[in-house]
Amino acid sequence: MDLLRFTTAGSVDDGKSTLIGRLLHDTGNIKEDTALSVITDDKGLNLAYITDGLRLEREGGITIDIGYKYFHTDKRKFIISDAPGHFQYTKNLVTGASNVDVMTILIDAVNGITAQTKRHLLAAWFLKVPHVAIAVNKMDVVGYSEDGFNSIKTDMVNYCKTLGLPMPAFIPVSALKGDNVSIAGQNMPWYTGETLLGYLENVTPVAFMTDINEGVRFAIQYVMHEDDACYYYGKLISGAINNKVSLIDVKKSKNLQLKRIFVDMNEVQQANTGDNICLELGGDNIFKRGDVLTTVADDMIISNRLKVIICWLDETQGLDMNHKYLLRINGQEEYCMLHQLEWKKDSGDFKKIRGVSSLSVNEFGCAVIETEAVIAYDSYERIKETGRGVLIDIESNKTIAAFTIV
Amino acid sequence: MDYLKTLEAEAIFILRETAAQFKNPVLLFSGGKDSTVLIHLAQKAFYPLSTPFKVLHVDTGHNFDEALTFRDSLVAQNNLELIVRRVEDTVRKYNIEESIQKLPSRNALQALTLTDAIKELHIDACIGGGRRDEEKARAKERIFSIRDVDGKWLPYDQRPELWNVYNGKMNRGENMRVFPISNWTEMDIWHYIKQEQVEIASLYFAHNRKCLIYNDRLIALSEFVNVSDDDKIVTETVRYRTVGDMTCTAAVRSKANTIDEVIREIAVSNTTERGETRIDDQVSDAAMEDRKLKGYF
Ligand SMILES: Nc1nc2c(ncn2[C@@H]2O[C@H](COP(=O)(O)OP(=O)(O)O)[C@@H](O)[C@H]2O)c(=O)[nH]1
Repeated sequence: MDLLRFTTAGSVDDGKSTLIGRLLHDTGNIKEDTALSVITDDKGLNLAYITDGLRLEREGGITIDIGYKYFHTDKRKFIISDAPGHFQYTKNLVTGASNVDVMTILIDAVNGITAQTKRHLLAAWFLKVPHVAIAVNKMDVVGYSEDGFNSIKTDMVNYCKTLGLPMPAFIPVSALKGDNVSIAGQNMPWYTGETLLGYLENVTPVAFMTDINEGVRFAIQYVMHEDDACYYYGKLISGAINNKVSLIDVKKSKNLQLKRIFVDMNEVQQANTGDNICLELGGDNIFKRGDVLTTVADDMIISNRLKVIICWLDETQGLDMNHKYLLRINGQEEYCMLHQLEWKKDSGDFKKIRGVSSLSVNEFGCAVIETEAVIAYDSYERIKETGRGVLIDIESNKTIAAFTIV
Repeated sequence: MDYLKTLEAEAIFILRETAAQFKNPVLLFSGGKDSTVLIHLAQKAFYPLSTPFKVLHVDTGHNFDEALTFRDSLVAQNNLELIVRRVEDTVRKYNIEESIQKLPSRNALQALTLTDAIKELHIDACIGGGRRDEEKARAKERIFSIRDVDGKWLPYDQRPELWNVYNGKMNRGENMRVFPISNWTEMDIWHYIKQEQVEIASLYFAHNRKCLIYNDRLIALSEFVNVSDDDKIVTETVRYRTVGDMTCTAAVRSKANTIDEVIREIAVSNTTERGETRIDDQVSDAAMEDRKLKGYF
């Protein structure tokens, strides 16, 4: 059985918690004691109550931070990251959406597209989320009207085109009544597509979309020594290697002698994309965490300049062009400054606003970063894990921004 | 890809990150299935060498004998370095008056023993077997989850944690909790134990036990429980679904003797793991959140 990760995003009161509750309920994933603990009023089972895990969330009736939920059907296992709907918590949404296969965006059929819907699309754009599904909720309130659904769909298609997002799936649902969540129901005969659950059961997860023909990237995470031997632990981010290849340290362009490859608790002849491997290397080469090994010289960019799309995550301080930050890509760390801020995205019409000098929390922009020493990287488009990273504040040690490399 | 492979790969990656980013990380071990799986994963993560983590057991003194026996044999078999810090010693050190209750709980005190051990041993990260499906507050927690200088979790000020970029940098006095199996469910743990033939404590399988009936739950009779005359004592065939202190973990009636039988039983059970077996979370909706705020793991 495989695993699908999806996030649910929506503005406050669009029915996100109800939808998650409905999915868990309909698939038989709510145990009796949980059900009893969420009967909060005379209306009986409050589906929304299942997801709000913190006291302030229950009291305020809003989701503040990402919460994770787990369920399964006969076809698949699912991990839901339930994202907060309030604008203030977009930074938490980005955390929750960073590892997903699908971003499900809820739109209230009555209210239509909101400012918050557009922020969710921006997050999908920034992260290059592989699939987007738009669930138009509360269809029961608008009399299950096809016209209302279509007009939201038309507008959303345009927004997605503007941002270059993959074409989403559009599903009209009623989280409360259950239409098109796990069963189609009788109320919308005009809709012939999949139910939301059907969609989630059939969409292709990222793990199956990896391009195995891409260049080899072995990022060293951790080094251990025993006697005279040196063991390098890390993930084979991309490509495949066997014990006959000669590996190259990307920064020094030096050939290395590969002695043994370990995966799991075995010595193996070959390792593939995604494997957590351990390499024993010969010679007197000393590498450290953050170094990247590959097989073809000049395959990776080695530079102290990189152009990035940046998402600012810190609410206490905005981007400061005169400030030094710590940049991190995988295990590579280097001090850096932002050299140039080319534009930021208007969260309303998605246009580029030029001539800006800072970014504040939840804003997306394009910048040139200059690092103190050269680093090795790829474009996010080409190889995700070597094409993305974070900025860390040197004083507070907090993660204050995330970026993807153009 | 098979989901267990995916979850295993995620956990191994996190364990390697922990080894790389901290000077003195320890793995918290209780004798339970989740921390046993963690030790198994920690062995895989550093093969062919042995795991670099020391193992810390915060011993409440209210253990099941079976859990201690299992702990010691696991440590011996795998050549691990075990550190034990006892709640007893904390009680003595601070002259704490423990309240006399029917089921005395040392959960609050355990937090104190842990924070003391962190200071004494200069531990900068504690790896734990917490899972997000266990409980609503846990469902909200990051994989690298920082504790402030008082050992508290700050749920409303968590760091962004994107992709698999885990930020282990901290200020003086702060401490990290790392949860490599955050995304595993109870069922995943069982399927993994089966697949990998991980040895677990015998408490997880059916055995005969003398129990006290307390709020419709079966509490093992032991020297730690204060029995009164009107208590109903029964001998039942039971097993444990979670293993914690003898005073706050309830047994479940079961005849499951093999992992397959346990899996079948959990699949049809209509209660959650904690709901069925933990006495300590019953108090309120926010019981776990409150305990975490006070420095509970
Ligand atoms: N009529 C109707 N009401 C809904 C539907 N989905 C959610 N609601 C209601 O909308 C309100 C907000 O829902 P909730 O799930 O808490 O929204 P959230 O803030 O997005 O999590 C609640 O009163 C729900 O009962 C729906 O499909 N139809």
